Amino acid sequence: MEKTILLVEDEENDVFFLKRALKKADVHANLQVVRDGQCAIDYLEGRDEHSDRTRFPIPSLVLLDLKLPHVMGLEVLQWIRHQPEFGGLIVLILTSSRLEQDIDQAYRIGANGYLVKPSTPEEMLEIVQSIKQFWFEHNQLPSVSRPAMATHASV
Amino acid sequence: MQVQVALGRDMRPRFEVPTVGDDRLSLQQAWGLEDFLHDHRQALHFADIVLQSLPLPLVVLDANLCVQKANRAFYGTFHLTPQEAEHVPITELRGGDWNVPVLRRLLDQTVQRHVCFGDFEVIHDFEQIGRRTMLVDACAVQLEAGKNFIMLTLEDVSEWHVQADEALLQQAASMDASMDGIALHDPSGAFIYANKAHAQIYGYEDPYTLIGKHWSILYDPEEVRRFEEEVMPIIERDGRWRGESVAKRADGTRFPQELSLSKIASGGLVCVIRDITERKCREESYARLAEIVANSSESIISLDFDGVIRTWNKAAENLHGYTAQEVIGKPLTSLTCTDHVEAVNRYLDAPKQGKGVSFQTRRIRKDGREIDVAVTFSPIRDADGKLIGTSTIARDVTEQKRHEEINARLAAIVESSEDAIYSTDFRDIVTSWNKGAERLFGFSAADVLGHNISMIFPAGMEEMERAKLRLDIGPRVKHLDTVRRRKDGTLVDVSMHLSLIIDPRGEVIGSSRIARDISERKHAELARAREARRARLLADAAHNLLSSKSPERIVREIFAQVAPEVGVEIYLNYLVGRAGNVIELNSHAGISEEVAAQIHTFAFGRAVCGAVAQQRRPWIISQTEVLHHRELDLLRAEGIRAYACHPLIAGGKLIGTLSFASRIRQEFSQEDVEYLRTICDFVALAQERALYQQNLEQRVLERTAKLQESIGELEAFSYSVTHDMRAPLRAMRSFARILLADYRKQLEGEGAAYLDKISEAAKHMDELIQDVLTYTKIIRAEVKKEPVDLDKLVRSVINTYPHLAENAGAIEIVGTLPRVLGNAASLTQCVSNLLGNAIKFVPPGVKPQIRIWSEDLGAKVRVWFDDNGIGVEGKLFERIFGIFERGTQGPEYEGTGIGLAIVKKAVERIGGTVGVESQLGKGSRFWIELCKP
Repeated sequence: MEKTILLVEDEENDVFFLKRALKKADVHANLQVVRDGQCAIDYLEGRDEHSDRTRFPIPSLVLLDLKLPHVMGLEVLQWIRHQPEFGGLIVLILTSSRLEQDIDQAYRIGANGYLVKPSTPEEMLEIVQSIKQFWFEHNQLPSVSRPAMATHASV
Repeated sequence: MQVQVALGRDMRPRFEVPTVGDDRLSLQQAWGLEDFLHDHRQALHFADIVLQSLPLPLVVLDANLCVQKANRAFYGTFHLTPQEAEHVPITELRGGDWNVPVLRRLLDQTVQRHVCFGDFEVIHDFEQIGRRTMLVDACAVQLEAGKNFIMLTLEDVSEWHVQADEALLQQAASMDASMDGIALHDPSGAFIYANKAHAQIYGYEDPYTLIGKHWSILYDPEEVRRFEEEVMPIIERDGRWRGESVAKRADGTRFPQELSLSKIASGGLVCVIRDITERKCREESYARLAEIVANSSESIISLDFDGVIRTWNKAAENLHGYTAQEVIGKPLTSLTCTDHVEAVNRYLDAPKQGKGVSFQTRRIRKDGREIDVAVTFSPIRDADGKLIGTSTIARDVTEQKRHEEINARLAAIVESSEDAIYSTDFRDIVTSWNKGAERLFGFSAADVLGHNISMIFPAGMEEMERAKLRLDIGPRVKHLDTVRRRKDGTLVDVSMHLSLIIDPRGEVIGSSRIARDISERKHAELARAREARRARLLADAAHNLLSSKSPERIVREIFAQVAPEVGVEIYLNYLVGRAGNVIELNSHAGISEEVAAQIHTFAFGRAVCGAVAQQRRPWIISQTEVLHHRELDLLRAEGIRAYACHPLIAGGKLIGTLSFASRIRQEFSQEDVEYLRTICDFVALAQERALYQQNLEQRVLERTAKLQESIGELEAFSYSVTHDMRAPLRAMRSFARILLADYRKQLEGEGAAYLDKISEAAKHMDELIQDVLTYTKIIRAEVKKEPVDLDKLVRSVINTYPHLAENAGAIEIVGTLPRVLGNAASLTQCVSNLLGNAIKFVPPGVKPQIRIWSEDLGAKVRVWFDDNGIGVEGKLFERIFGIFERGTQGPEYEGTGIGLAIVKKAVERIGGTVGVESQLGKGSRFWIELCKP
């Protein structure tokens, strides 16, 4: 079963760079993109059209920008960590901020990683490759992040 | 062998064993019966008659104690017949009724030892005749050889005994009732009797507790010894002793006693005692009185009723100059001045009638000098209250008389003095008031005597002056120039001396004042001193005013100096309000807060201050004007009499007004007004300056706030630079790269190179932004200084930064770098920048070589970074540390021109310095100098 990545990003270019890098890195994942913090929460909550989990599955990984319209990235992260069912959800921050306070705060709230957006497509590819290698190949995901079919198979 | 009968002292017959050669008179010889009794039979017969006729019971016993013969008195007394008794052992008489053990033992003794005894009291209860007390005499008589008899007389003393008992009881009762202590001691000294008084005198409740005790328990050992060694021999000799002693009570206390001791026949003592404590006290107090009289400083003389001197104490001697011997026996009148004799004689009658009398008279001393004496005659009575004479106490009042005269003279002086002289008691009630005071204050003595002195105080003056004139502290005489109110209400300037009146015991009973009108003199005499003082005050004030203060404090401080100097209690300081045409009360004293609130704001032209502000002219107002001008009702309502309001003008600009006012002074003199004007000029200058300063401070505060605001904006700016400005750069660069990667083949000619240039330019811009952000962060960030292990830090930087790690082999650290005082983040920034530069700025094809070492400079340490780079021109040593400054290297060296500026700032923020030694083309030695921890 294909893994789902939820990308929370309002910058169209960055979405493009990531999609390109995923393709180049040969990551076969269902990339779901939401444009602001509130949409991310709606998606995870399964609100409105997101209630259809076959179309909008629970993601294996969330890539979260910090500077977002309406609800900021850190608020989304905080919300996620307050939901019992998403306590184990893998959330990586992907932002252009190098501010110490942002980095520290993200980890304090419960980010699983903090990545600064690179300024070249080559670097972006490296990042995506290391995510693929680490999170999807070496790392064992928590049950919440596993695709639904795998869960059924184990039963 | 003849029977000899002798009569005892008590006239009772005694029978004794006759002895050979006894020369006592025989019966025959005594009675002259020698001839008549020559015949033995006759003698016996006579003896029988005598015995039978004796009223004394007599019985003759043989050696076995059998009754041989008894006389009639015996039978009669004991109700026996000769038949019953004769030849019957006495102990078996009446079936053993006579078996009296004591008697039996007595008789046995008599028989065995041939002794006699007499007056032996035997008490026995006879069955028939009841209790009898018998005085028993027994005598062994040897009538024939080997044949012993006992002559036994048994005098029945029962009757007598009873009588004696009664008498004794009566006597004892009277003894018990006696106030004197009466006791009997037996020969050994033990008590056999003590009456109640005796016991009580010694402090014993019950006389019986004394019985059997030895008298010595009642005395101290010394006293006992005295009795034994001195008193007892006298009693032995004289049979009695009378004297005094000190005895000991049961509770251990001692008391003086009088006692008489009489020896009694039995060898014991009758002891009569009396407690003489009281008498002793009396005697002592008499003695003391006598001593007092003798030593009295008063002349004390006693006279008999004829007026003749009987005693004469030392003081009398001193007063009159005569010794006691010279005057005792002479009439008192001999010491009296002739013109006083008659009066003295008249006064001498009073004591004879039991009355005392005091009078003044004049006496003549031995040296002829006349003295005034105050004399008291008092009757003298004896202990029974009988008049027996006159005591005379005299005191020399010559001095006193003189004082009285002086006082009268002083009073006259006071009364006629030009100065006001008056006194008050401790409650400030006027007790004296001379003519001068009447003239000065207009009050007559009758007006003020008995009233409180406050009536001559101007309103509000009393409290102020009372505090100043605390009589109980400071000198006893005080001087002040003050103001008093006349009867007509006008005020008068007075110079006043005030002193305490102290009674002979040293207690303050009031105060006296001497006041002089100085209204006229005051100006003339005090003007110069005041001028000098005011000049000094002005100088001080000028100095003070120039130090930075609030406008309110300026005027408050100067008022504290001006108030006592000019005599004002009130000031009002108005400042021109923001509106410009009103004045607002800035500071005040001497008026209540309510009033202050009422007069807080005036439009220009309103009230005195408003008018002064509008006209920019001072207003000087006197009492008369206050009283008569309707528009001055505010002043009048506050009781203000004198008022001076000046405008405060500095540099031609009106700042406000300053008024000084007094409720006491009637007006301000020209001099006062001048002085106040000067003060106001000073205040105007100082307040103008203070207001400017206040304004300035306000402006600084406002600017600081604005600055804070811009700093906040800058922070927001930095954040947005990081996020938003870098995003398009990133996009530019990334798309350029993508274009290169994905469409390189379609590009022709210089296309790919241009895309490279776009990408590089975007990258450079990105680095610039990063460096600027770092630089501003370093400038603003709080830097905490702490010890840092530089060696560890440098090695860690080399290993951590990729562009340094690549060249780690080219970097040599000489020795161990020291610990320094700094901040790890700042130093990391410095070291990475310096090393980055050293690696970057090498000539093409040259491998970088870098050496790092430290140099100890005492309190500081210098760390050198030596490279083999392109070097720096000497003229640029300073400039290269400036922001956006670059060396002379060509465009082939990338860089933002901010790296060294960051190093400089970072080092400076931790208290260090940075520098470079270099020659173009010969490498550089950068150094940073840091404090040791």
